[in-house]
Amino acid sequence: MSSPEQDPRPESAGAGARSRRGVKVELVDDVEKSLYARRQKIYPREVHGVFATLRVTAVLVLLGLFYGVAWLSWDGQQLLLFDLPARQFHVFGMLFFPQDFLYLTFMLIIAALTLFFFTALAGRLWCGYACPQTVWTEVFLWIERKIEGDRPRQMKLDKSPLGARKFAIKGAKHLVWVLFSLWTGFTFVGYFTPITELGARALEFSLGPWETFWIFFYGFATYGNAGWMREQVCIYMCPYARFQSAMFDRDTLIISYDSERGEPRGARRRGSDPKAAGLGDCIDCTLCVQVCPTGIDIRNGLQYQCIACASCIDVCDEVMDKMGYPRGLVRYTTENAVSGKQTHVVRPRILVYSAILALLMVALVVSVMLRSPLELDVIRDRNALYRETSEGLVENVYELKIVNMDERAHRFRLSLEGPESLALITEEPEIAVDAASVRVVVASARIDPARLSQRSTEIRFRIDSLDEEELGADAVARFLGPTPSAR
Amino acid sequence: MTTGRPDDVQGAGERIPRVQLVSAVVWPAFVMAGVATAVFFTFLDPVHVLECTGEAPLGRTAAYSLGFFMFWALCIATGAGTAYFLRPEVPPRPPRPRTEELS
Repeated sequence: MSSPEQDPRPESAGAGARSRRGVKVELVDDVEKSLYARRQKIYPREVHGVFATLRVTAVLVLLGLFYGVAWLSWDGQQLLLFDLPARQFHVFGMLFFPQDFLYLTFMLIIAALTLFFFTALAGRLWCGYACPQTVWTEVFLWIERKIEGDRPRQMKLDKSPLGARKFAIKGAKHLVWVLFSLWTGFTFVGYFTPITELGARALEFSLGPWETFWIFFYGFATYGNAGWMREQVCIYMCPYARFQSAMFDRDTLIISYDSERGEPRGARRRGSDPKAAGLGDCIDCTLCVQVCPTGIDIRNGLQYQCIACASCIDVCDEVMDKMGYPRGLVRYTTENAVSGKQTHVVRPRILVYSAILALLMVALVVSVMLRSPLELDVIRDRNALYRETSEGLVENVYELKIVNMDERAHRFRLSLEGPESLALITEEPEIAVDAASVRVVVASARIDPARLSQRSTEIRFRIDSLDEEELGADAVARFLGPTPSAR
Repeated sequence: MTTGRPDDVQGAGERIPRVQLVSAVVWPAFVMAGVATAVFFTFLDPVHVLECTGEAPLGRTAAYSLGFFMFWALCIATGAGTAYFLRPEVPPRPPRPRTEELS
């Protein structure tokens, strides 16, 4: 063992830390003998480097989108609003109704396939950079670091007895966490009920009971998952973590420790020749373990707990630089590359995923574009089959439901097609329907029974917009009359 | 050893952490309750349903929320049942040796 001055490893990674870690391992063994294993708190060490910068960028962009998009509006209409109380869904200028839930299903299938595609191509990119669990945990860790200090300080604080100082520091951290969580909960609810009104009501303390409940519920979920649960969400709750290996093959990008180059690991003096000492490039500083948010040792090989955050790459590269060794002892690679074979980016799996994905995306775009923003439903009056008027005509009554899914109001002219001399009776020849709303109007049709050749005749109602060409809809209905032989 | 405690689930001779057991029941139930709520209220507008039954007026947000928690409770009950019945059978205790055999 080298003296501390010559030891290139950082303070807490020295022999002291090792012995502390040794105690921890025994503890786990002890606890496992009891009824259930207690979780060992993980203190991820702060890391800087290429991938850390990438992750922080991803966090800023994604959280910026989450907290920002809710406030965007156009023409007084919130751009992205799943207005549950109104049963209307505004998506960037398009309006959807509950009956359009097929599009949502479509979107979810596309999202899942995109995940499969990127997993096959580049491993757990999603986990390391884009998953909400990672993104919010990153923010919570940052807050923790700002208030409690770096990893050794946090560990020392947790070991110290509860006093005024510890209480103040922990209290401040939880206060900031709670405030941030509540803001998150508020934003989340703001995607389901108009956010400007929600904000105004929040400022007046006049939020509805359920709005308040969901803000706190989602806030609590954020606080619990990002503050307390952290890596346990990935290990115990995430289905993707369990089945992602099914999408992996030998050409998938993984984070791997080069054991060929690193082993046998061991401490050494800086500047000494490792080959002479019979050592590999791994100086066994355990920094890769200390930075790991899920507390694993990447040197033990690919593990399902690894969320591919690449923190171990960043920190190991830093150590390699200090030692004057080439970077990449821990690096992004593929199983094929590790075993000295060639890596194939384009391969059947990737082609199949891309083909299905492209097909589904085109289908979605086409079906959304072909979707008519107008719907007409006709319901026959159920009280009477038909009615005879004083003039001897037969009359049927209908209820017309006009669904205007456009973000603009429209006026429509109602017309009726059917046997000759079929007359449309309505109080409103021109029907005005507000933007994004449904109107029900009553109309009836009359005809001389002599003109009817059968008991039930097909007729067709039609609405045509008076203010926009080519906007129209029709619906088929049945016109009932007396049986011709009974006349 | 089986104590009858809910965390005493044994599989392949191993115990699983309590947080895993609770998550395994509550979390999939949460997800499925979300799906069930979305599908259920896609086809049924609670305002119309409540109008027909003549129940006390309840806003949509309240109806959705209560519906969600009803589904969640139902799914948790199912999951908890599954977890409970998955516990291995308790092997019978070997008969105690008689005192005369001991002496």
